[in-house]
Amino acid sequence: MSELLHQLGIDWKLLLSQAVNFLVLLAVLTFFLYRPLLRIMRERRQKIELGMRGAEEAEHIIAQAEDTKKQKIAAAEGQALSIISSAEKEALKQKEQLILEARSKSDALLEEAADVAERRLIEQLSSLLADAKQLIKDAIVKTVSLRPDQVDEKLIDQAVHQIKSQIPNSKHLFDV
Amino acid sequence: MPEIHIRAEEILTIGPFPVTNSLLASFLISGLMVAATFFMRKKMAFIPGKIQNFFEMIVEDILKLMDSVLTDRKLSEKYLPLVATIFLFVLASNWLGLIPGVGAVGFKENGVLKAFLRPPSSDLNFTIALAAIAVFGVNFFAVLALGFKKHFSKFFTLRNPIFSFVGLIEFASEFIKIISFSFRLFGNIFAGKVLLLIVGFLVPYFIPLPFLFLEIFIGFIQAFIFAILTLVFIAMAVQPESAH
Repeated sequence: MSELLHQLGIDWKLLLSQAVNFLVLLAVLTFFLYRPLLRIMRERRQKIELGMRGAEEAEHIIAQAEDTKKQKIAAAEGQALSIISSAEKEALKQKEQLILEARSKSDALLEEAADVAERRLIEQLSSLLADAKQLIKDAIVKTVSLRPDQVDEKLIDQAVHQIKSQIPNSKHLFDV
Repeated sequence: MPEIHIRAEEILTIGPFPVTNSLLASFLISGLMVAATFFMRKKMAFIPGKIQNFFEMIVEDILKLMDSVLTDRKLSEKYLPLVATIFLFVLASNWLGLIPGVGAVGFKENGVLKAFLRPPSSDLNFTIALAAIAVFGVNFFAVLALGFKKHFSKFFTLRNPIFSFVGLIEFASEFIKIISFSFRLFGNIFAGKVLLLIVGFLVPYFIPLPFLFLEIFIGFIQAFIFAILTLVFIAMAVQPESAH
């Protein structure tokens, strides 16, 4: 057996040296090459995954923002339309109101003007009536001084009544 | 004319330890790999340079291959050091013999050329040491994964005579694995070395070229087989008995 081992060149010292050599190499490579390399590769994979996820999220956020933008624009457009239409309605209402007010004001002005004119007319008439009354009285006085028995109050009234029936709104004459 | 020896030639002794040309080559290869590691380590960065990229590519490819066997990236990363180191070291030691001058530069002793370097995998000491480490590594990982008792109950059980017998055969096969691992690698690389030598002497110049390519391929395949078998044995060993 030992002859065979010798022929094959197997020597436990050499075997041990080779084993130690390999184990040292294994240890060095494990601690200084594989582990740091694997760590770096793992970190890089994680970072890339994180980046990918971040990009996806960003895309999602952008899409959401786009949606919100569209919604807001649509809402703003709707609001603007409703504001415009309500403003138009309001303006129309105000216009009608103004027209109504103007009409009523003009009516009032017209009425007032008519009143003033009427009052002035009545004043003129009453002064005219007073003048006439005075004239009649003077005439009657003159007549009575000529023939007092013939003078009668009734006659005077009749004359006044006649005058009154000939003048419109003569009812006021008695109030003045 | 160089002589062909199965044994590696002893070129010097350090104290009681003999140093053969294959051991020297082993030291040289591991020295170069360690140097490369420290060179890499200095330049290791989050954003890789060319060299780091190359290493990462190799590691990533090995991991992918391991994933296909272990089906779990975490397990792959756990067993990567042993499998990858075996692969890279065996590959380097297989290809070392193909570099011109490696088997030719040496000194003459009693009219016989003793080369300074000899591919380590053409020396049984190297292959047996590596095979033993691989097999012990497999069992070590199995003990770590399953526990001492559970793992060794695969080999030694009294549940039923058939299982006991099969367990003993399994236990013996662990040692046979060392032999098959080591002799397969040794045989292939040693044969390749002899083949290249003979072809080179019989028909020099152009004819050996295809054989060189063949040896490059065989060197890769043998390293691959060694690493993959270790991986498969690990994958089988770290699983509970029912799946075994």
